[in-house]
Amino acid sequence: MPPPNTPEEGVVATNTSSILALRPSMSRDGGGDGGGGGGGGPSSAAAVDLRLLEYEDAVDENLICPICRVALVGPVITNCDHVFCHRCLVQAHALNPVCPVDRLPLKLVSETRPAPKIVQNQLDNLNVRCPNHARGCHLVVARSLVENHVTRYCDKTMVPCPHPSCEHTVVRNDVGKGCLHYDVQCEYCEGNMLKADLEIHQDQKCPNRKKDCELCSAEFVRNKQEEHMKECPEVEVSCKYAPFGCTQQMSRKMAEGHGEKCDYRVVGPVGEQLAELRSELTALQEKDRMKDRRIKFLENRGYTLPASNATEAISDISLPESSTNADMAPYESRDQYFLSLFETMESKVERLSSALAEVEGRHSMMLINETLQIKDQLTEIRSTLGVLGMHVRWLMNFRLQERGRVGAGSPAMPGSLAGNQQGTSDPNLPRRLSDTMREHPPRL
Amino acid sequence: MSSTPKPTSSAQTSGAARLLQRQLKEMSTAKDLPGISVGLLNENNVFVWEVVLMINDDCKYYGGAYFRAHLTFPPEYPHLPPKLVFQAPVPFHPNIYASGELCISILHPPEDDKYGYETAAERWSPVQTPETILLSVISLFSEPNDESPANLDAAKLLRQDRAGESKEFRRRVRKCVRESLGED
Ligand SMILES: [Zn+2]
Ligand SMILES: [Zn+2]
Ligand SMILES: [Zn+2]
Ligand SMILES: [Zn+2]
Ligand SMILES: [Zn+2]
Ligand SMILES: [Zn+2]
Ligand SMILES: [Zn+2]
Repeated sequence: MPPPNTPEEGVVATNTSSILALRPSMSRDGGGDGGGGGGGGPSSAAAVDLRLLEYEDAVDENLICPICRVALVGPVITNCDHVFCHRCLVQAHALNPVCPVDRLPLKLVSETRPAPKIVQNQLDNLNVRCPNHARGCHLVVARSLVENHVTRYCDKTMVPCPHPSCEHTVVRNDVGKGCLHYDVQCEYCEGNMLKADLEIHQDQKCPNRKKDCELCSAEFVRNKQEEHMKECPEVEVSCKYAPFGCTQQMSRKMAEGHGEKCDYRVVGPVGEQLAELRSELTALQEKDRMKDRRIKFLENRGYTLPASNATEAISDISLPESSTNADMAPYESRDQYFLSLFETMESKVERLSSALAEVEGRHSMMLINETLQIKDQLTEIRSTLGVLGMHVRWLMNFRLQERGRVGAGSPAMPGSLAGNQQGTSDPNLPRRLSDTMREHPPRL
Repeated sequence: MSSTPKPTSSAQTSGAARLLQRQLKEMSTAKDLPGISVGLLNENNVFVWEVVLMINDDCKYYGGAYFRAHLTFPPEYPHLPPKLVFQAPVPFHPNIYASGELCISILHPPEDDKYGYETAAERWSPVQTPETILLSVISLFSEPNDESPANLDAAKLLRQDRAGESKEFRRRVRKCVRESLGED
């Protein structure tokens, strides 16, 4: 498929513009020398401006011209390996003879060539909508074929009126109907127009012509079809909880009933609230950002050096180094500066004293907590000690008693301890071994 | 350059309009353009954009500012550059005229001789986009260019500031930054 570019420009365009009134902004691509060969006849070459086409799918970044930023038309490649539409490059080169991307000097004829065939093929295969889309042709076709479709087959292409003395154009579909270029009145709105335009007027523009809906058979103004579709009770819609996961499709009038039974309705209110909160959050974040900015800005106005005229006067006073932030706006006068310094110090002192008080409070609290614990432990220890003492005393008495019962000649007692105890505690023994002690031995 | 083809036909205009429409949409949905927001000044005219630049707080002189500008594209766009004009309060900046018009080399058409001191390499190229333009403008606030000044006063004071001789530049810049935030 040869690219649609031909060397003709301007002359042909004006001659054929009446025939080829596809769009108000018809323009032609004159990139024949770069495009690798001419297209068909002059009339067909100009029929479709590939730059105006609507692409069915997103176009790969590598196939997009860096100048006009749509899919390349008549691609050429430079010696520095940059690809442009031929026409874009010619235009750019006329203003500045360099490669638009890297700005290296560029000779248009000797340093550029048509892009490799593979690029052209990829471009040819892109799917586009028929440019007569607005007149009612909904064909989607490979880009390389769209021109053939428009010039030969599309019913909605404008062609010269079959009447020899008539200068107007007419949709190809209507060629057989003879000259339609006479004034008529629309029977619905009473507007005046050419017969040739009547059909489109009544189909798409007439404010009065009514139409019955194919789905709900309600009547609506024909050019308000889209609006009716938005409210037609028979149109298939998805469940209102679809954003939360429901995949059911049903007619609009059923949707209400389904909504009440939908499994996802529980999630609905929560989700709505969530979305609401989220949007509120972004709004607040934005606000917050602006406030932050302002606060930062206002803060920047504090603690700064005095204006240059005052620097000298106070240079003998040693200024705290932290206050010389060079990036901030200076103060109007010295007094103001010292006042602000004083205020800062005051607030610092205040902050310090409150911090001190806090620390003190914390410390005494800690002390109280600690001492209380220690006191408890002490009482505990004291009572354990008392118990232990009683045990020891009881045991001792028990021993002494036993020894007294056995008598002085007992060999069971180790000599030194027995002798020692005998010497010191024997006289007290009867008194110490009280009855209460024996009856209530201390518990362990 | 009189032989230069400069088509300003309706075809070219509508090509430029479609390109701008697409670029506007791309930029308004882009997430990685912090500090730049764009829109149309008038819904029916895609050739005049309203731009708001929020200068990063880390920026030395202009940090925190909130500048508004109009970006006006010619019918020959992208072959000829747009014009950027700051709105009041006009930033006190070596490269911005008192009228608000910005003087930056990438917005100078390549064949224009009045900026003879620049090499063509720094000038407009049709592969520039509104995005690349505005990013260059933002960087101009971080690093004002005191060669080829548009505001001689500002350029002089900036040089004095850099030499540590005077703080007047900062003072005037902070004033216009405050004004840009709608204060005093
Ligand atoms: Zn291009
Ligand atoms: Zn290159
Ligand atoms: Zn068609
Ligand atoms: Zn006719
Ligand atoms: Zn009518
Ligand atoms: Zn209906
Ligand atoms: Zn559901």
